[in-house]
Amino acid sequence: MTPVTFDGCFGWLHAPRVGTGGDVAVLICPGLMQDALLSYCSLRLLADQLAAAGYWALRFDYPGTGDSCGDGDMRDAGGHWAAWRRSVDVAADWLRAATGARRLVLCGLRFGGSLATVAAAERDDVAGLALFAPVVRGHSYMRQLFIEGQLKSGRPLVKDKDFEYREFRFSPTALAQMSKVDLRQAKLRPGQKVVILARSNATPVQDCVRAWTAAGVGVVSLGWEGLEPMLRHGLTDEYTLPDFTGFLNWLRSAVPAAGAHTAGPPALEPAMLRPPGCIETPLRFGDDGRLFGMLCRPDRGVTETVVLICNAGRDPHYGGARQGVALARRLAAGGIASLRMDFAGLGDSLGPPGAENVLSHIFANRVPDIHAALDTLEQIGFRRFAAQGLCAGAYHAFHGALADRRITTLLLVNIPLFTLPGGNVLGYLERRSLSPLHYLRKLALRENWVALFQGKLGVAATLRAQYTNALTRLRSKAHGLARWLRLVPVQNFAGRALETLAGRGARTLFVFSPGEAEIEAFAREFGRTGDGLRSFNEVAVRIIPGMDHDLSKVSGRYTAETFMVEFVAEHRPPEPVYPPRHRNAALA
Amino acid sequence: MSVQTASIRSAVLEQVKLVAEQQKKHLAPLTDALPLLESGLDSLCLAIIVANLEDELGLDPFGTGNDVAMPVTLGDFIRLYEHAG
Repeated sequence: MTPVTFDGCFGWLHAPRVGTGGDVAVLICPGLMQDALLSYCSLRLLADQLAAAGYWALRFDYPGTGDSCGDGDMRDAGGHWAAWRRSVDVAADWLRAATGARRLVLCGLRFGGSLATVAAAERDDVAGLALFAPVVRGHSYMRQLFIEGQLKSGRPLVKDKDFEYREFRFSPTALAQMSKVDLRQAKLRPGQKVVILARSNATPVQDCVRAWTAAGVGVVSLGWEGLEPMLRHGLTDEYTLPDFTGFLNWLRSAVPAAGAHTAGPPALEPAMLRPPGCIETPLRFGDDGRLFGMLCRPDRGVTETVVLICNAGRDPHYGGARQGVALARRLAAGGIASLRMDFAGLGDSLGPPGAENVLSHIFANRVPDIHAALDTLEQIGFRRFAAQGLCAGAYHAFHGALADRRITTLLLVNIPLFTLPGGNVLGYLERRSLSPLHYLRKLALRENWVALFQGKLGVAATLRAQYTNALTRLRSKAHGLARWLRLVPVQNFAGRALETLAGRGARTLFVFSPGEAEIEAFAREFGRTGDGLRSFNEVAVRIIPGMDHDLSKVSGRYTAETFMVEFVAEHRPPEPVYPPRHRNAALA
Repeated sequence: MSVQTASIRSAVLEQVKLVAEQQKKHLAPLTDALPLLESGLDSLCLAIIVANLEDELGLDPFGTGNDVAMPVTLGDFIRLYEHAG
């Protein structure tokens, strides 16, 4: 697979083997937000399997999503729907021009299915359409986003005002455009082949099948068997990616890849994005180039400082609510480079040989990947290294810094734990009832509900909150007492680790959301206000009002980014006035 | 209980079970008095249920333009749809 850029969008082109097929290209239209995060690796696997079956395949990020340029407010582009719909056409045209394919198959997941269907109805080069759990009615999808947004914010959303949700800001006009989408009205062309792979045989899907069949379209409904990992995987397990056999069988039969692709991959310009103030280039590294990251540099001047942005959970490198992209571009605006990377078995990084199609465990050992990233960045010419992570990503950044002395600055957001138990980690994570991560997730959910139902469940909520407070305080005091009685070591792992880091001159910023659960693991080690850190001059703690656990709310996220950028910039020595060694060669 | 009311109730319960199964959530026994807070559903589940019910029943009680009191119990949630029907 080859990274590509066109019209400010980032994507990956998967080429069929030389000598097979080649006259049909498949354009993969991803879902949005959570749908896109969950399915990221699945769509990579789908593209790989399409290429193996003789089809060109392109997956890409719409404007303002993933790694592509643009922010969440598409007002200047005519609204989100118009911008995304246009980008599907641009990608389709680019794909045909780059590969020489004569026919297209559009393949869409969730809201990407809506975009793909409308494009298929309007283009005359689309022979096939594949819809994975498609959003049939934009109105009900927007209602889903509204309800979820309301639950997350804990307050009613105001009609006729912008709707800010995760990485997007939807204007009332944009919402109206997206709500109008109704695939039952799509005028697909007679002779086009369509496959629908739906999670349930809901009424709107049945309506589509009836309407399109009546119009002379060849429609087949396949079940969802084997595809569930596209849209759901638990936090604490390894997951085998979906089984696309049924879909691939349909495709070979409905739109066979004919011809013989003989030329090898097309000659493409090196992929590069130019968001405002930045230059972004894809970077392959590690053994056989199996690991991937997006290098973001300031577009002016040079810097020897680079921040390694680690995956949060299983989210791909761009991050939930695009937090990785937002942080990278803000760092670049502050004159600092970054690499938002995927650990092995996540995002665009392959798992180890034999486990390429497995989503890796979120607490797998990531130290070798961090070493590999730093080696590559050092070869490019960077000399000062920071590591940043959210939740599990913070855990990995912390352990990466302990294992690699090159990391001298740490940015740890909502770190859930400092050590894992020995033995069966998976079992431990699944069984524990009051361990930090589990506790944190349950409570974060509960707080949403309580906020939503405040007033009606006020008494219950207050009692519950008091119980939680008391429990945390009790635990902290018990731990303190145990230390005083020498029943537990005076300084445990976290304290020793911070001492080691401080001894090397490394600086650490802890960032937390407000709430007992978020800070529990930290408080157990260092006290709620970080009193146990008094002897460390180079450690700072920030609790940010309004910030949620996964940085999905823009206000808290922006403040957290500001603290992180300032922390990295604070002690940065003057940058060199000459280009760092190796840079030109490595980036050529 | 009218036929329509009964069918709305069963459609709501069916969606609750379906979405809980899809999202791998462990549901508490479903009764009218069950607080949604204690049901085992999270915010995403509820949002998906509302979207699915709009598709299945054509009812959108949260989009009527009126200030809708957010339901506390499963019974409140079902009645919201019955009154919108």
